[in-house]
Amino acid sequence: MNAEKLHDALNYLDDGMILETDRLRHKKKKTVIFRRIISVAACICIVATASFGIEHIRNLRDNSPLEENIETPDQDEEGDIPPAPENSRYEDEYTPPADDSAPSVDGEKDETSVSYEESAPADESAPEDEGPPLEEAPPSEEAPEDKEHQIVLTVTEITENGFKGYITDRNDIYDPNTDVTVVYKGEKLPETGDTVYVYFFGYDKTTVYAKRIFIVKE
Amino acid sequence: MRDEKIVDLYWERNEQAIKHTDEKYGKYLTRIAFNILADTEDSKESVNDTYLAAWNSMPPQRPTALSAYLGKITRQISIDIFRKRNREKRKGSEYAVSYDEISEVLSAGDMTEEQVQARLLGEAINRFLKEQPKEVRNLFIGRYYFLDPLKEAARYCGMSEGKAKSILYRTRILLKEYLQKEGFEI
Repeated sequence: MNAEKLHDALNYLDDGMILETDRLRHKKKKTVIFRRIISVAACICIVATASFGIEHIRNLRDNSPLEENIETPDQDEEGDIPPAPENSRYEDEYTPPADDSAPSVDGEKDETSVSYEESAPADESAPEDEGPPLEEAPPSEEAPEDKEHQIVLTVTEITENGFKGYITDRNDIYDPNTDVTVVYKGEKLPETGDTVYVYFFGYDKTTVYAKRIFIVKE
Repeated sequence: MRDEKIVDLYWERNEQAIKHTDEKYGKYLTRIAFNILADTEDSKESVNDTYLAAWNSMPPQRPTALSAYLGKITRQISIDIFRKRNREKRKGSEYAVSYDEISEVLSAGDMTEEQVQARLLGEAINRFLKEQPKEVRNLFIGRYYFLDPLKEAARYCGMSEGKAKSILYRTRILLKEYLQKEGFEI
């Protein structure tokens, strides 16, 4: 017996078995083609999304006012605040809390620590004594600007140019408990242990360039 | 058009039967032929011969699975063309000529006997394959009946090429043992 005879014999295979295999041949082919179409479509979506994202980020950077018009009041007065480093970031998307949701400035009422959540809705009718007691109140004409960032930290050390502390809130910039140095030239500095709301205009990995602060006494 | 209608056309000796067969199964048959012959022109010739064979065989035949019926015809015609082509290539060699002459003596030109043997062998292979797992059976038929490339057969059976190769090797050994048990001379 040789291979030719075997091949001839295969012509006597049952039709049922042949049809079963043939269905598989066509079924799988269609599935593979469909999978390929899905794969190509997914790749196109990823590329399109990435392109859009990159373009969006470029636009944000191009429109960033960081290097053009950010000046702090303290800079005007003393002029010795170091410029923000080159790798400082400034996020246009950030929306500062409304003034009404900012900590209360009434330092005489309650001197306990407060928890402050950015997501809390501004509520003009909220009782005043619910706000944190602050040592330094922001003048109403110095309402936070649209492009301002905010972090909350606990002060651990007072330095020549400001103070040091660790992050106590959740924000998009630093993880909780991250040690940061705050460069601040305001008149009133916090004391060790104070909770401070820092509004700033520039930052890098470890340093924040504060525009103004709110102090919550321990 | 449904297979039954096409078969009816053959039985009515309506030439539209060949047109509808070509529309429905032309590509399928061409692929079977091409897997054997690897030549477009020869494949077309094989498929055309298939239509002629179908025309001549229906009636009296009334196949229930027209695709399998036509596929078998195409396969056998293509194999015959392949063998004839190889004989043509060997014409220049005296060894080849003498080999052909000796082969004729050995086979004694008894086509009926050969066909009976082929049928018996085919039935034994049928029994063997029915005992195999579905995955193995499909791979074996895909590779040795449809003569699909190993890579493609592995793909539509949902396995790697290496695994398919290994399964086919084991199946060939098992088939050899089975046929020996059944009394075939291997």
